[in-house]
Formats: sequence, C-alpha cells, structure tokens
Amino acid sequence: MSSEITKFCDCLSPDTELKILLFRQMGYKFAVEMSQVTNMVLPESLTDREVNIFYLHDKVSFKKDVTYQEPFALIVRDETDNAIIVDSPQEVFTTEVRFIHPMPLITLPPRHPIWGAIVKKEELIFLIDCYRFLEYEKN
Amino acid sequence: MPSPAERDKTDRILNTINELRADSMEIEIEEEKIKLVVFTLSDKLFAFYGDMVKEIFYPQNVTSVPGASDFIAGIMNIRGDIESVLNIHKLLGIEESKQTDETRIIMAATNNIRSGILVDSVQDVLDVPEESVTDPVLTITGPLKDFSAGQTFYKDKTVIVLDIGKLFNKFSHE
Repeated sequence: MSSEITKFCDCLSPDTELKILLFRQMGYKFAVEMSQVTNMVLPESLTDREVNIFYLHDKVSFKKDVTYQEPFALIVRDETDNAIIVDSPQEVFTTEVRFIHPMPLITLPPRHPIWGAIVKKEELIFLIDCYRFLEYEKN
Repeated sequence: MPSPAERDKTDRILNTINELRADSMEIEIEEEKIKLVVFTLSDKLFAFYGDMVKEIFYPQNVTSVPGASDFIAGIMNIRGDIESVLNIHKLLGIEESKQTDETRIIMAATNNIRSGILVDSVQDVLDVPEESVTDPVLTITGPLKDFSAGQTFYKDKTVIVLDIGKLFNKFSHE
C-alpha cells in the first residue's frame, strides 16, 4: 500500500462529530476532546489516589505567574492514570472535524499539546491533546 | 489505556484537515516585474520581494499563543483561516515600537509556509528593475546579516531587502 493511500486511510470524515470540553485559563479559552478524558474530578479528591498529577502550565507556558480560579482535574488514562489540572470549566459542545483549524506551521514546536484551534462566536479556542500533553517535554 | 486509534485521533483529524486544505491551495503565478513592498521597523526601512507578499492587513484580533516563542505575535482569523503573525523586531535586533494607526500585517508565503509579519508601517509598493537590488553591504552585521537578501534605495535612503524564506526557516520546526 502506498504511503499516500495510508495517509488517506488515516483520515477521519470531515463530518465526524467531536464533543469538546471548553475551559478558561489565564484569559485564554482552551478545549479538550471529551473522548480523551475518562473523568473530571475536583483536585482535592486526588490526594488518596495513585495518579500522576500535572498542571496545564507545567507544559503550556503563560510567561507570567499562573493562578487557578476554579481548578478541576481531567483524568486521562494512558499506561497509568494521570490528572491534568486546568481551570474554570465552561461548557461542553459538539463540533465537526471540518471546523477545526490546525495551528499554523511555524507557531509552536512539533507535537506541542496545542494542536489546533476552533473559532466560536468570533473567539479563538485552543485545542489541547491530552496524550500529547503527557508526552511533551517543555524546553 | 487508549487504543492506538484513539491515541492517534488528533493526527487523523489533522490529516483530514490537511486533505481538505490541499484541495483549495493557491496556484502561484510568476510575475515578470520585480515588486518590492517597502516598510518600516522602528525608524529603519526594509523591503520584501512583492511576489511573496499576498496581502496587507490592519492588525486586528491578534491572539497571543501560550507556549509560542517571543517572535510569534500570535494568530489571527483571516476570512476563516487561522494565520500566524510574526514579530521580527527582536529577531533582527530592532527596538519594538508601540502599535499605531500605521501598524500593518504583511501576509507572505514561500516554500509552503504562510504567515503574517507585523511591521510598523507600509511605505510603498515599488516596481523596480532587478539590478536595482544589489548585494547587501558587508557592513551589515548581527542578526540582520542572516536575513538580508540585498539592498536598494528609496527616497535616497537605504532599504534592506529581507529574505522571507530565511525568516520563515528560522521559525520552521520541521
């Protein structure tokens, strides 16, 4: 099979629906795809659990002191259980693959957790891939 | 634990988007004349070759990107496309200016990379003979030397012609 055909087969349909969780942090709007998240809990409930805890700002730089107003933890099951603590959940909405914009080529390092953007009500929402987040090593 | 298909879902979505975008790629047509877009960074004059300049915009709604380098001013939504905007002042060792009514974004494209570049003003778009752009003078030093493609004159002042390809390569992570 040629690589071109392989690439084509790797595509999802542009009509594929994605459920997106929107949250707000440090003046930005972020979102994750819900299929990557197995649960959402309050950070306080993580203390007794065997889970690797990360904060969003561990791997996404804000270049200023980071505060969390209303933190909550996204549980992401990989080889181990992981919690990514993010801020201020807003809403869950559905979009289609066709409405997602890849991040412009030169904007971020390769395999950066921010992989795309959605425009909603004329505002940009940055999409975060939880698996990339766990793998990503910030310089 | 996620299945390989689930883990690679982002890559598959990006493949889909890239397939869709490839269908609407622009076809570039070579122009016979040499155009130069003359602009300022701080009080210095620079130019880009016009065949790489696609549009010039007023800067509006540039959203900074968390995790991006200081040379990335942000991204902006241009008629439904998300484009990056570079801030090349620091890269060229030039003092940053405050945004004014004259500030513009020059949208440029070369080698399959497309981006806006923040400039302090656009002065002119010139049609010039090819030979009016000469090799950059040897006295150009520092970061400017790495990105200059030549020099010319505009209203008796020296204009450094910047190589957009070299600028983009500096930012390209691939």
